[in-house]
Formats: sequence, C-alpha cells, structure tokens
Amino acid sequence: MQLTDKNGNVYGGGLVVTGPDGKPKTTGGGGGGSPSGPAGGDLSGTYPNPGVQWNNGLSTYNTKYYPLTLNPAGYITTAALSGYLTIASAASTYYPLTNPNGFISGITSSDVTTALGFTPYSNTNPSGFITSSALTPYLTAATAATTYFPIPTGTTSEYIRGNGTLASFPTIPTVTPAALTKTDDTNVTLTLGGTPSTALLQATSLTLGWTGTLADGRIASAATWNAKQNALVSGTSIKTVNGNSLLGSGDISTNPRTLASVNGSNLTGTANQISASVLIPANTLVTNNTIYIKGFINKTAGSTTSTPRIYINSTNSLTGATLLSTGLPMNATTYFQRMERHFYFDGTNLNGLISNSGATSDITSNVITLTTFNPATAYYLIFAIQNTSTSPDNLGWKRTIVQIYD
Amino acid sequence: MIKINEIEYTITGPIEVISDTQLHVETDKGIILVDDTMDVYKELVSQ
Repeated sequence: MQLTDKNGNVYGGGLVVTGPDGKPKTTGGGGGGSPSGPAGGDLSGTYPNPGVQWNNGLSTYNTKYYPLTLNPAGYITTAALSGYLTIASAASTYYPLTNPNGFISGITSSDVTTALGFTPYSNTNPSGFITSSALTPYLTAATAATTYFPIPTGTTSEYIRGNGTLASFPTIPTVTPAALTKTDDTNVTLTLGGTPSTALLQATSLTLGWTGTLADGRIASAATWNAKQNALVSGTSIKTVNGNSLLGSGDISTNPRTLASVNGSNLTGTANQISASVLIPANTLVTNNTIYIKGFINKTAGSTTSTPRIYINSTNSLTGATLLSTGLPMNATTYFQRMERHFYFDGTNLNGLISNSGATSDITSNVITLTTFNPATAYYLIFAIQNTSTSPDNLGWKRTIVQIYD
Repeated sequence: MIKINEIEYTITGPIEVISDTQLHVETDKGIILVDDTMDVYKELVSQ
C-alpha cells in the first residue's frame, strides 16, 4: 500500500499491518477480509483507513525538531554563526575551567609594581614603614598653604611679584649705545679707558675744571712755594741793565759781547802746537764787526825762544791754517806777555796787523794783513805755541778772551 | 800755485820752515801753515 503525505509526497510500495499479537496482517495472505478496528502506533484513526501520527508518538516532537515546513533549506548559515566562538578561538581567549582556582599565570612581581605605580608594602620588611620623625622635614599640605604663595599659572610675559601675584614685564625702551666723552681742563686731563665710544646707554660727558686755590697740603713743599718770587716788575723787583728791561724773551746785546773765555795748555816740544782754540760759529760776524782778542801768555820753564801765534781755520787743526798774528818771541827770562789783537771785518776780509811780524799788541802802526773770511762758515781761532828747544821750555796761552764789537 | 782743501793758493812770498814738519807759505790768501800730512808738503820742501 502507498501513502501520500499532505504535501503530496508518495512513500512505500505496500503497507504491512501488524496486529495486536505482533503478527502481520496482510491482505495477500489468506484473505481474511479488510482490517477493522482502531489503529495504533504511528497510525491513528480506525481501519481500514487509519491516519499517520507525525510526532512519532512523542507529545514534545514539535518542540525538538524544527519543522521543515518553516525552514525548507534546513541548514545553519555562516551569518547565523557569526556570534559564536570557534573552539580554537575560545582556547586562545579564555582560561579553561580546568584551572579550578582561576589563577592567571605568568605575571611577575615587576608587572604588579608597574601596574600599581608604586612598590607595595612587603610584610617581609615590616620596618620599612615611614615614621613620623621621617616626615619632620616635610611640609603638610596645610602648613604649605599657610607658608607659601601658591604658584600661579602665568604666561611667559609675566613674573611673580613679592605678594605672589602675577604682573606683566614692563616694556624696556630701546636705547642706542652712546659714547662717553670728556673735556679736559688746561692742567687737569682725563683719559677714557676701555671702550668709551660705546660705553654708555645715553650720551654723557665729563668736563674737568679747576675751582678755588690748591690747598697747601697738596703742595709738596708749601714753604718753598710761598717763598717764590712774586711776579717780576722791571726796575722794581728786578733791575734794568743800562735802562734795558730784563723782562721778556730774546737777548739783550752788550757791546762788546764775549764770544769765549778759555784757558789753554802749557806745552813742550819744538813743533808748532795748539794750546787753545775758540769756535766762531757761522753767521756770528756781520760787516763792521771787530774781533778783539786778549790773551795772557806765560812760560813756566826754559830759556830758549818760544813764540805764540794765532791762526784761523775751518777745522780745529793747524794743517792748512792761515796765520793771523805772531807775538813777540820769548827767551831768556821773558816768561810773561800780554798779547792783544783787533780784527776788523769789512764783509770780505779780516783786517789785522801784519801777521808774521812779532808784536805784543796792535796798538801801533804797521803793514796790514787781509785774511779772507766767509761769515756763513764756522771758523776756529787757534792759539798756538812753539818752542825752539825741547823741554824744559814750556809755553802756553793762559786766560784768553775773545770778544766781538758791534 | 798750490791747492789745499780744494782751494787754490798762489805763492807770493818766501817759504819759511818753522819746524821739522811745518812750513809757513806766503800766498795770496795769507800765510798758510803746511805740514807733512799734506801732499804739497814734500813738493814745497824740495824746492
């Protein structure tokens, strides 16, 4: 017998019916006629047309099996599994419940300290607690609040004043460096050191002056200072010379003026030698001047002839010198002679008594000797002596004065 | 004529021996002392 469900599906080729005694009751077996009576098992109703029980005899069948009529596909989709863990994922995410105490292994003490942010108290170091004495140098928050100003929150352009408040920095004006200058007094001067040209923020100068009178204590010798001569007044505090004031600069010429006064040497020997000499500087003589020579000549020993002479030369040497005058020869006991000469300058020549004729002075008359003289050239007047025998003859020009007459 | 220190002198008078090494030579510029340190000395002595 074939069955057709309510959806039209056909099941089986024949229907075997089991009787209450457990023996099949077939329609082809013996012909006993169609079954009758109530059906049992998965059948319901009564024979010969029983129904099928789809709950397999279970009253809770529909609560355990999803009816195909509501989920024709009959399978679980991936999307439906998205909210579930796989076994592998669960194993890497959770500790298995096989760890009955639920401890997490692998955490070190360092991990704990790091997690806490401080080192936890250890009962293995019971003395490690902070005592009150250890806190002595520390301020309590209350004490700090009554002792210090709180640090206010300011800006970079502000500063904290004495009362703890903030204030803005004042604006500093721009100033160009200036030079330090000075003004010296006539006697008191000031030296600027360092870098005075850029030493100051504003131009400033130093001016030195002199006020009042210098105190005695500042003078090394006040007595000496006070004993100084007052200002000279010609003819009052200082005499005049022939009516000429001595005050002022320049020279007061006298007539004659002494060019030199020398003391010569006494010499022995037979050569003509220099006993003394006097320089006539260039430009000393002018036209119409007269040179006046007065010498004291003495002999200290000997009796042979000794002769004094006067020469002129551009060098202090007899070599090449020009003879100006000759004194009287001195012999025997003639030990003294005063020799005088005048030489008048006419602008070109010195005019004098004949040069090679012995005479003590030119206060006489005789031949004139002209000797070339250039006033722009310096000349030496050379006072020489000559002995005709060696020692003991000893002649010399003693005090010899050379003067110039205007 | 003699030349002493670039100046020329004309001998105008006698030459006088005044010592072993010195002469007085009378020239147009006066009597000049010539000694043996001067080149002209030997020339004058030999005359």
